[in-house]
Amino acid sequence: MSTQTFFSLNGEKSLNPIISARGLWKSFPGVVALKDVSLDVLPGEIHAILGENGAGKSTLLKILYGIYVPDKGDLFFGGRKVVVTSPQDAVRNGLVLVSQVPQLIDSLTVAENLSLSLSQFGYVSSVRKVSKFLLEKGREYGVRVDPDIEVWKLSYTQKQLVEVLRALLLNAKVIAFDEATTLLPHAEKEKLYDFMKLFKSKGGSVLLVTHKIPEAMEVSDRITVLRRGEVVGTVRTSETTLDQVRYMMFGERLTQLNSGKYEKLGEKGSEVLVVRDLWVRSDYGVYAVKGVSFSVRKGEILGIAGVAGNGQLELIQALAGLRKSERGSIRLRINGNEIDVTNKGSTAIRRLGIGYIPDEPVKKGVSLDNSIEENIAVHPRLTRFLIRWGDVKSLATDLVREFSIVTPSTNAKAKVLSGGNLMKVLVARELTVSKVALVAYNPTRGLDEVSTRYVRRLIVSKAVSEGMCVVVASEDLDEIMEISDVIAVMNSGSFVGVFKSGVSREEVERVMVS
Amino acid sequence: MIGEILNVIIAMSPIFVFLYLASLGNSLVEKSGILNLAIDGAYTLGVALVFTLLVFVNDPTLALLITSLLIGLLGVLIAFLTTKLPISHGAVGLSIQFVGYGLASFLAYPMSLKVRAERISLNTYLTIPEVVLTFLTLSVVIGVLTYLLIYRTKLGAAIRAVGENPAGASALGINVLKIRIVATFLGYVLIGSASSLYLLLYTKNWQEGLGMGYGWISFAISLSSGRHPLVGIATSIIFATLIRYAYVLQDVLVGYGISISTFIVIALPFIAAVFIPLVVTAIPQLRRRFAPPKHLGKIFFSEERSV
Amino acid sequence: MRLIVVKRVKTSNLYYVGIPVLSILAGLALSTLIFASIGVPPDLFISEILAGFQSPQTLRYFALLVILGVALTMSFRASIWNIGAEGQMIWGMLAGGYIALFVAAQSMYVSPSDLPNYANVPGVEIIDASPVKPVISVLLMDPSLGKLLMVLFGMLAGGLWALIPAVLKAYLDIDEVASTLILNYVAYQLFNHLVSYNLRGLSVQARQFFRTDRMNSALLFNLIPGTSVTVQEVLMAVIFFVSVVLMYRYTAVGLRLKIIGSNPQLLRSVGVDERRYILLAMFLSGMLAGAAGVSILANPGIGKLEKIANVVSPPTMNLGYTAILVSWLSILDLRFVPIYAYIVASLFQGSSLLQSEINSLFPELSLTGAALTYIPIGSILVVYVILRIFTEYSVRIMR
Ligand SMILES: Nc1ncnc2c1ncn2[C@@H]1O[C@H](COP(=O)(O)OP(=O)(O)O)[C@@H](O)[C@H]1O
Ligand SMILES: [Mg+2]
Repeated sequence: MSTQTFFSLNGEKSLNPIISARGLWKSFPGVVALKDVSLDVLPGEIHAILGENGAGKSTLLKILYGIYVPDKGDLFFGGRKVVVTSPQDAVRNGLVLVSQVPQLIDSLTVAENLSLSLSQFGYVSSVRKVSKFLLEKGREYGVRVDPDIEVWKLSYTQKQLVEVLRALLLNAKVIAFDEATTLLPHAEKEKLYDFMKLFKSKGGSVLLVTHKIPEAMEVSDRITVLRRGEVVGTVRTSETTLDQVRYMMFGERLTQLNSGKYEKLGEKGSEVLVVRDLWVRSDYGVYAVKGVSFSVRKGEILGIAGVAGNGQLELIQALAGLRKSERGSIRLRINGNEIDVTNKGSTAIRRLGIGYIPDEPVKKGVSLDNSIEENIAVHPRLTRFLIRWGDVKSLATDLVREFSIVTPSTNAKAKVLSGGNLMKVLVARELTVSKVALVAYNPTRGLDEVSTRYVRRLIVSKAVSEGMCVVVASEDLDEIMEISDVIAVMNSGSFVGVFKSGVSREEVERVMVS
Repeated sequence: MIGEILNVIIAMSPIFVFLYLASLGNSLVEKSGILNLAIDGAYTLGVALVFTLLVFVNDPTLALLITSLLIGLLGVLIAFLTTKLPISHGAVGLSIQFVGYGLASFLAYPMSLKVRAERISLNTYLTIPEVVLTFLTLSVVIGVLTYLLIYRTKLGAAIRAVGENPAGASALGINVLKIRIVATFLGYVLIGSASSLYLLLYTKNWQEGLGMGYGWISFAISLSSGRHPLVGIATSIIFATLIRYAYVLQDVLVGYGISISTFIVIALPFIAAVFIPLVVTAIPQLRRRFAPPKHLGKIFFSEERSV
Repeated sequence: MRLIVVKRVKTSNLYYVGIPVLSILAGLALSTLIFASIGVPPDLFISEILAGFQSPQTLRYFALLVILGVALTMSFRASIWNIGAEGQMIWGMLAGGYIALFVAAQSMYVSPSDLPNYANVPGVEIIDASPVKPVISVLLMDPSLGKLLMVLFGMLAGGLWALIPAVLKAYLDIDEVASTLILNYVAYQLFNHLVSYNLRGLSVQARQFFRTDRMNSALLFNLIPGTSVTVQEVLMAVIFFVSVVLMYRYTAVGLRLKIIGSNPQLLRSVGVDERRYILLAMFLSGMLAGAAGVSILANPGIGKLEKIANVVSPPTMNLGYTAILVSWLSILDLRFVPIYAYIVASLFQGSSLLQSEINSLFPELSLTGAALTYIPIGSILVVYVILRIFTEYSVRIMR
């Protein structure tokens, strides 16, 4: 089908766009992230940019915000052609970006952070002056944060509030949210939506980037859909339907997404992983996990839900042996033997047949400068002292086929792969070595929808058929709801609710933020 | 009694001054995220420069100022290379170190021959209480000002921000290059003045290889103080004592029948430079407080892959 | 106008060859300029450097730089900046020297009247024929075994010395560039101490000049005729080169040593303790440097250890620093190490030829050895470090 069908709106002349991008191209090793992308943001609109993971949404925003420089194409702010090569340029033109991962300096206080943005304060002016100013302004905008608190002590939502406050203080004409709402529970999301609507009513515009259709449908005035780096079209939200948008997003692959539920076992086996009263510190030395206890049975999937930064990461790292447990125990029961693995180190734990999918997978789970084969051969369970490259190659070839990894060859450097394919290499390797259990953090982060389904299905089926037990923490509540047998909600370092699968989403979200 | 203490202070002050100022400079540079591996080259070059200039201008203060400025400009070059281009800080620092060593010998050796041949008397600072105490006071004042700059002003927040997370700082609207240039310039000016004072206030003359290694000792002092300007005062005193009184210790020990060779005495501050920073890392509380900037020595490239 | 750096979509192989060559040329041009500024004629500079390429002396530096180049490449590939090869060589010399002077052979006084009796005894050599207190060296074991022990102990000592900064880095996160460099200064001073006291020889010269006795010549390595390179060091260069290449190619250890360089977090996340590999990389690197130290000591042209008068001219001839150039120009690719070892050896030899030439032709120029080695090395390194990024990045100018 042609992409022209959806272009009906582009003829709109009534308003001059406040930001306009024309013919943007951007390539990275292994992928063309943007292909001839054009976009108009009108004054006073909430404009959603929708597309699955890897579609190029963040690349587009980063270009608008001056973090990336396009290979080709022009930007117009207020009708004027501009060169944007740094965030300062973008801010000067009235655009402020709020990212999914808050771009604040953790070890600095809120006032110090915001002072960096505020040009009315000179470089030698004291931070105390900024503090005072923020207290005033915060009151004015109804955003209450202590300006003298260090940012790492804030919750995820509070950090986002600080970013929003920053946008307001900078007199932004356009605020762009890059998946900033995606990970929030509904109640929190609503607050941000209200804010967006308020901002719009005052004449501001919002760019709302998301890969979740309902989100785009809920607040936006218009939706631009990106697919594999191309603009499929722009539609008016009030004139479109969920199905139409779905079709724009996935095209022909839509049918692959509609194949039903996962097969689950009714009966679970005996307990394999038993955690008792676990206490773990964060990088800043405070307790991030405060006395968590649980057990996971053979073939069971425990999903850990929660707003980012409530101790999930530290818990997962402790389970993988990568973070010290200050108190409590982690035990494994394998073939009737009980093994205490508390603080036994990751080598010992991984040797027992535990797979691990780390957070920041591209940074921690693969090595970009090495080939796919080397990325597989590095695993101690997969190679002996002498590497038989023939065997590695055939394993790599199998995995590439099984996971439909797009790569020139198994000998290609990992850096020529796109983010999604890299993630698949990692997941493929870890599933191969997970004999007893899999410990994962955001296992499908950055994967496109089809691959996401595929990976989830693999995890579930491996749990069912081979009795692997799974602990998966995910910032994406949908993921947790979809694959878990038991859902634990983590809030401020503790399990504040444990539910059987089938619980309602509202119930889970309620304890996430309480 | 008071007189004795004053004597000790006066004896140690020159050493304290050149160690402390350079370590302060290093802290400032590294707070901004640049791994300062060119320090020893800059230091050795500074020593040679001030000596060469002194032969020409014969005014210690003028020689000191020009040297500090020139070394400051070297700092600007380093900041530019490591920030604008995605280059390894280690590689840049080391390469510049070697150039520094080479240029130092290249510049100062002919001058040292000239000084000897023409019996030029060098106009260095007198090691009299007034002068020494003035420099002592000045260096502590500079230390306190640096502390206020780093922890109380917006510029300081910016310097810490680009050291911790330059991508974040840039997203907040900071020009990372500009901030690093300022921090590194100031830092290198301090390193340049320290190396000048090493010659002007302490050795008073130049010989081949002079200054080599003292940059590293200052580096170690900065490291052991968690790059904190005020803590650096204490660490510098420890090292100054070591350098000043190792020979005394040697004499004392001989009295007890223990003889340590002069070579060991020379090696002592270097041994301390390797091991004293460990004290900081061995104690968990200190380790966290004194943690290096998160992005120290890492390449800053705004199109870095994050997905 | 703005300078924008972007990543190349495809890295270019041409650059891998071109950049090192270009760096050498540009670095040399820069050095020529610097030296010309005080009156060194550029054509003299260039002709002496070129002469370095054909000098028989070059072969010796070549063999040493292959050993050191492999040593440093092993650590650099692991992203561990071992700038301490100098100190590791020093310890190699000390350990090798200890074996040669006290274990495999021994010096002793004999009465002057007995001296003629020792002239033709196998395994005994007259070290000092002083009429008052003559000294002989008595071989205590088979000289081949002795040489082997020298090398092994030299390697062990170099490796252990390298472990100090490795432990600091792996377990306490202390930057190894600084610690390896500082430890070089410590090693120089400890060398002076040991040579002046513990290893000091019996002969008159040794007593006078703070040095050891001459080694028993049976323990010296064997020169290849017409050169100043020894059979043993060439052999070591070949063995080390081949075995390290094979280790990287076929063993899990080699693969992990490679991966800590590109992404240590990956090792950690697959359950390999990356700290052990940091130790291993440094230990291996230090071992090879130690072997290079032994080779310098056992060269018939040296054969003894003497106090370092000035830290700018240690017995290692600064080859531990020079080898950084070899490793970097090879882009940390072992296959290129011999090529750049030869080029750098020639430059190294060229600059010492230049120094003696200048000293005789223009004594008033007073150029030091330090200036003549560090300036070209530093200039080439600086240019290389900057150009290197163009293999992966390109620079665009906007508007
Ligand atoms: N800095 C980068 N380096 C290499 N590849 C990148 C980089 N940024 C994005 N990509 C790749 O570009 C594609 C689009 O990424 P992105 O814009 O982040 O997608 P989205 O935000 O829609 O999920 C992906 O294949 C990703 O791997
Ligand atoms: Mg994105």
